[in-house]
Amino acid sequence: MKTLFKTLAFLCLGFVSTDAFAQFTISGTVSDAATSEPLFGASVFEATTETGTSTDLNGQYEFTLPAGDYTLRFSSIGYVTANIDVSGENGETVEVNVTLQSSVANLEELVVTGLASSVKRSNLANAITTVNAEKLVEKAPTQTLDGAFKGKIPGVSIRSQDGAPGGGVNVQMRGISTLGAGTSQPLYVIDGVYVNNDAISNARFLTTGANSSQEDNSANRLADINPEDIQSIEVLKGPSAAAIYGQRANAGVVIITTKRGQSGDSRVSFSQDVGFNSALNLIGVAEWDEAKIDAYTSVLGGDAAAEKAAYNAAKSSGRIYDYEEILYGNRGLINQTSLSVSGGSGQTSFYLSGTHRTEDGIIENTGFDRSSLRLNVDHRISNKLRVSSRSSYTFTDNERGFTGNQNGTGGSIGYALAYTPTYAQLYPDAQGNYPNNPYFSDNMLSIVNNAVNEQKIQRLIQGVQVRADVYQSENTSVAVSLDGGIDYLTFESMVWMPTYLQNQRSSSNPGDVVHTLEDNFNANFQATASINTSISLGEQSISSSTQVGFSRFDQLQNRNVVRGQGMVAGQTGIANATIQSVISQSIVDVVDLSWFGQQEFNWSDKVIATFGGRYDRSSLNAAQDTYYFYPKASLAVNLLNFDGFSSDLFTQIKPRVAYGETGGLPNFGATFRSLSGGNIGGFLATFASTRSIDPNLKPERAKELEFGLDVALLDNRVSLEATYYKKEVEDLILDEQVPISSGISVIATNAADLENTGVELALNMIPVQKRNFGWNTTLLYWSNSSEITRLGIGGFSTGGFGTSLGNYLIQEGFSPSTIVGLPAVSDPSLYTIYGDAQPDFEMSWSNDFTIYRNVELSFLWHWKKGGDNINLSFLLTDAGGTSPDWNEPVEGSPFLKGADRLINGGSGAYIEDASYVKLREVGLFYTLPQSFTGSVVRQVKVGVSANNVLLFSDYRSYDPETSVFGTQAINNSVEVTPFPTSRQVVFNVNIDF
Amino acid sequence: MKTTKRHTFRLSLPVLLSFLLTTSCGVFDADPIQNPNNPSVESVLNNATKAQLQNLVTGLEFRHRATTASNNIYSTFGREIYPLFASDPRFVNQWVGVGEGADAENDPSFFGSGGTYSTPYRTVLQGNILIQSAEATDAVSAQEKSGYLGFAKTLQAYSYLIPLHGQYSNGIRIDVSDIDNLGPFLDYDAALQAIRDLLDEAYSDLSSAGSSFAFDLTSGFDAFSTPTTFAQLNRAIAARAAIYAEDWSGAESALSSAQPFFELASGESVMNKGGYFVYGNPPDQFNPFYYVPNTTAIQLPMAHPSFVEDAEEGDLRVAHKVFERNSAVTLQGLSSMYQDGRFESTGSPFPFLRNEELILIYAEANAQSGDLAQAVEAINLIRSTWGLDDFSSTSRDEVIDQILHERRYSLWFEGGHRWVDMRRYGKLSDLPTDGGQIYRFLARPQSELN
Repeated sequence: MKTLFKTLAFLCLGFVSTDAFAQFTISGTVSDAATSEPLFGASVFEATTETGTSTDLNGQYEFTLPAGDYTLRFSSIGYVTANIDVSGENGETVEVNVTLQSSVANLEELVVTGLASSVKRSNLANAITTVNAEKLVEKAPTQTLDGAFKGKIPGVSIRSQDGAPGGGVNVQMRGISTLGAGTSQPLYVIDGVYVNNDAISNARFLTTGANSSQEDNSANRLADINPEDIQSIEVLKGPSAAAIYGQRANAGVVIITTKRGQSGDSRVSFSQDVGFNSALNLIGVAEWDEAKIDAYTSVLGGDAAAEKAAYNAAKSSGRIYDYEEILYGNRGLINQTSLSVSGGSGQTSFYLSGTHRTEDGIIENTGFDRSSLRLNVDHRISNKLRVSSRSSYTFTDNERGFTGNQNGTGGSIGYALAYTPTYAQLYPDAQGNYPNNPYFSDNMLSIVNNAVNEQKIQRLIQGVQVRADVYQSENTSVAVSLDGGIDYLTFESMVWMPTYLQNQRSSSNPGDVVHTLEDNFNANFQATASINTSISLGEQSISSSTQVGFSRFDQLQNRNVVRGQGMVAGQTGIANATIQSVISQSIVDVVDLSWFGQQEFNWSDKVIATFGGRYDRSSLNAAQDTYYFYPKASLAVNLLNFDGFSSDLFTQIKPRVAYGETGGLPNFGATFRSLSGGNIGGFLATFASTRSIDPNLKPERAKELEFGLDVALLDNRVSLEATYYKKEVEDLILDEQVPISSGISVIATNAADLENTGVELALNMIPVQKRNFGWNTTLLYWSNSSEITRLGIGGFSTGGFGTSLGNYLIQEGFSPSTIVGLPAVSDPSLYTIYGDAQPDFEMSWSNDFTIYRNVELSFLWHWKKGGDNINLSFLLTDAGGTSPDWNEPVEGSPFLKGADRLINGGSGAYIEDASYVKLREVGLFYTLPQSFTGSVVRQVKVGVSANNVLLFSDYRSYDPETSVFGTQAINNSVEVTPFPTSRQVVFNVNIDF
Repeated sequence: MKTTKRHTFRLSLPVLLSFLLTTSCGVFDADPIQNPNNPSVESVLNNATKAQLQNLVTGLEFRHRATTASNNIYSTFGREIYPLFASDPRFVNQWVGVGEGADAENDPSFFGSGGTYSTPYRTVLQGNILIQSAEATDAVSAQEKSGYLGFAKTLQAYSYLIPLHGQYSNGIRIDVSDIDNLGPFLDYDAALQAIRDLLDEAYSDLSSAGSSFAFDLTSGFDAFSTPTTFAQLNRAIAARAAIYAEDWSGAESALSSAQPFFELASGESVMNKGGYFVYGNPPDQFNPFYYVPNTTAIQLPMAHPSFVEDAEEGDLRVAHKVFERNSAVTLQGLSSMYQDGRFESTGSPFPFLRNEELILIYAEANAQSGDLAQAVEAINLIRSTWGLDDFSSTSRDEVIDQILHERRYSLWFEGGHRWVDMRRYGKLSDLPTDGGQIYRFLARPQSELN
């Protein structure tokens, strides 16, 4: 081990004696080849010295280089990168004017493929999707980064769990990669730091009586990342691309790069958003009258006479209310201010930004505020040694309201709403006292105005990179890099039900508060040595790139949940409670160690072959010190680079194939057989927990084979990327339900294999590229199907609220997203099949228009075909008589529609198709002509944009995107009275100085 | 400038590198992570200390207390209560059997039935761990060891009866000590015999356990805190098991060994002598059957209206056990005015076996073995305690019917006796269906079928 560092030390000391050098100046203009318009913000970069700048509003640039020969790289988003050779002598000024061609193929774009290497897109053997800031966040309002992925990444199914401000997004890449033992969410790496994306529970379920922390409507913590700071993301969707991330990559990897400063004049950019949230789609409510009351009470009980009296009293005094509109019909203000400064000179560049966002939800007293500060610094210590730092601090304050599931406490306004007829009287009296809701356990209006559900997150992410070029000759270079950083977050939440709420008044200890405090610390680093060599044989060349390295990841989490019941009026401190309980105090401690290596050969950009692998161990495994090996190999062939294959039409024809393996780790605790603690009668109890262990438990392993064909034609104005993959996940860890007469409920064991196959197509085109009109369009298509190919334990149904209301089937020969219900049937499906949560396919269509050069219009359509939900909101509104179609007659049934469904519908009545077409994003921006801007202001851009603009769906609720259990591997299409989805419309002004 | 910069670099690099070199050993390796949150089961299986055994004993009490989880469902099956839990329509649909497709006898995943099976078997597991630990330690004497074993086996036997009630003719497993090699399902009679054998074994252990236990029990066992008195509890459970086995003489002899806990006398305090589950504020748990009087939350078990309607005028048991609410609780067409009023607070104890039941077992055993006078006398001890006139009859069937009536009122909602009693006498069809079904038993759980 020490040898590596000795070598490093030796090599590091070797390159300090850099000579002072003579310099020359390069300047010129970069413009669009079709329109001759100057290009603002185009990058000019020299790779060996890592020197560069970007163009100003007139497309002009200027910078200096040491005397010598260089290749300059001119690039701009949406253009073909140009490489231009220049040479200069001391004191000389060289003018280089460049025109760039529009492109959708981005063949020169560099894509990260190893832990310290990148390859240009034209040589890539995987379908790695790159989304840059412009596509990701600049065209439409963005609350959370992952929410902005929707419809932009083929092969990735993204689903919001509900519309609560502050996110909560389930991201599933290339189908199902775990059945719930390992993480179902991708690994996020921001500037080299493994960041925490947990959905941290605030234990709200304790106060609402919901079943578990899964029903807390927790937001995943990617919500803390400020989307404004993102330069680009790269998505490694499957093991063939992500193998180099080993045991944490089964669900895919998202590599996020934040903005960096560029040398040259300092730039100041100010941006102001003002807008509002409003409900995308309300369900409506059934009308009530005397006949309806009879129809309802005869089936579902209640005192018809009393209800009629209540109804008539309300009607005669004009106090019939649409409580759905009252609760969800509000507008929430959105306000976001961003200021950034970037620039640099000589050896140092920086990017400094601050953003403050406040957002109110459509339910009163809900909202999402985020303040963030970032400083990114890049510094060249010498020509051969570079260091960079990425620092960010975020404070998030999120009030998520009370929706979703509850059990008997009324602690969900949606649930209570389902049972509350329009003639219920819930408004407070003159003294502000809310009346009891006679139809449910609480008064929704009182919950909205008095109960508190707030979480505050402080987060510090610090990444550091050191890169040293330790040796350089004509054909060979050796570099060493150290990457790493920390992600530290504290999560602090309070859920408070004051003493005077209806459900608290009926409690033996009124007043209920739960405080959660969680610290989460991630640290990772990696050391890599890279050797690049090339051999030329006549016109042919073979270059080789080798990397070897070591990485380590540490996680430490400390969580405390305390609860007070029987509170002093108005107090939220635990000390003011009659009953003070520690709900949990738990620690998670994880260490991963890894060794990796990768070898790439490139024969004259004709054939590019890569193979590599990674040895991983983790303390999450039963065998904590065993290393598991995850290999990868890939091959890409650029047919047009072979002699005799040239074409006027095509610019690229590249078949490619890639194979890789990754892992999925057991959950923390799955390898410990514990004695739990409890108290009874003043004595301390220890008792065997209901979980036992499998001493042979291994990590889950995904093996993926991916074939693809990339084609670019018509001067790169059309590109098509087609991919087929087959991803087999073996040794899936399942909680085997052992016979419960053993006293043990579950043992985590490697019990199943499953297979995902899918197709991804991406078609990019520039149909029109004229001086006054440009049109850029992207059509994406993706589909996936899954099947459990081996199940070593008996088939069973899981998730949901039990089989009688519909849940998911785990059985050999079926997709784990199969939705089943009663009645039970004989093998093989065990239960009646009612649907499948996975869609048949998804498509998206995005368009960007540029009109008269200063008007930009863009929109994004997203179509999800198929995929079923278990819509239990509808069950509840049927039970409460409030479903909008409840009162309709049903032929051949003595009951009206709502009652008929409830009584005769069986399990299948509430399992329904959740297909949709959404207009996800629309943006319209206008850049003021330069005559309006002075010498100080470079550019002024104004616009209006919207998110979740239109929804077309037959699904009978707010939004087909919903999940009461939050982010889950399979149990993610159950709806119980969610926070309705918002449409966001935002006006934006952006001023660059 | 440049010179200075290089100079700084030369100084700092060696510092950095020597730091890396001195710390690198720990970086490339890591110690195994132990469970940071709990002790392991293995830590008590060999050479457990007395303190560890005490915690396991309390752990067994903790698991034993959780067996109340079967009370709501069995008491619904026997129509002692309505399960008016608005949070989930399945309590009514499935338990009362009014819902489409509700079928407890054939649905291996029958809603809300886990408490009748998993919870008692967790008590059995805990008992096995306590037995294993007590046998594999030098920290206790042979006599003390017998105390642990007798205590553990008695509570295990109590627990086995709960799944046996639910599974009935399906039978249950008794030998569950080896998770990888679980014993066979024994039919009802064989399982009951095995439970009674276990009680006898425990009784014999307790008889060689000396005059005091090496451990302490909560106040719920105050009447049974020594091997001698605990043996009386053991015999009381044996008497209960004996009448299920229709071994009337066995019941009588068990009762005679259960004295002086078993006491043929009248008076409330005599009736209420027994074993209790104790509750308290967190970190302890609340009595799960306490609800605020007249609570507006529709989330509670309510007395079946027939419990009040069928009662004899002046039966104090009704007034002691339920009270009439200000307003009825109605859910899914079921309505009741009568809320459970047995408990004063969340900290009130819940009985798991009282002398009142033993008196009725005595009456039943005597009636069945033809000694009707003794039976009637015992019945009247109960009746006089609760303000009722004496009963008299010379018909065996009438006496048995009267015993079932007294059991219904004396043991209301104390674990679901009514359902078991009516089944024992083939009278399930006499129970009101409330538009649903009266189940005879529960299907074998899914996990046992795999």
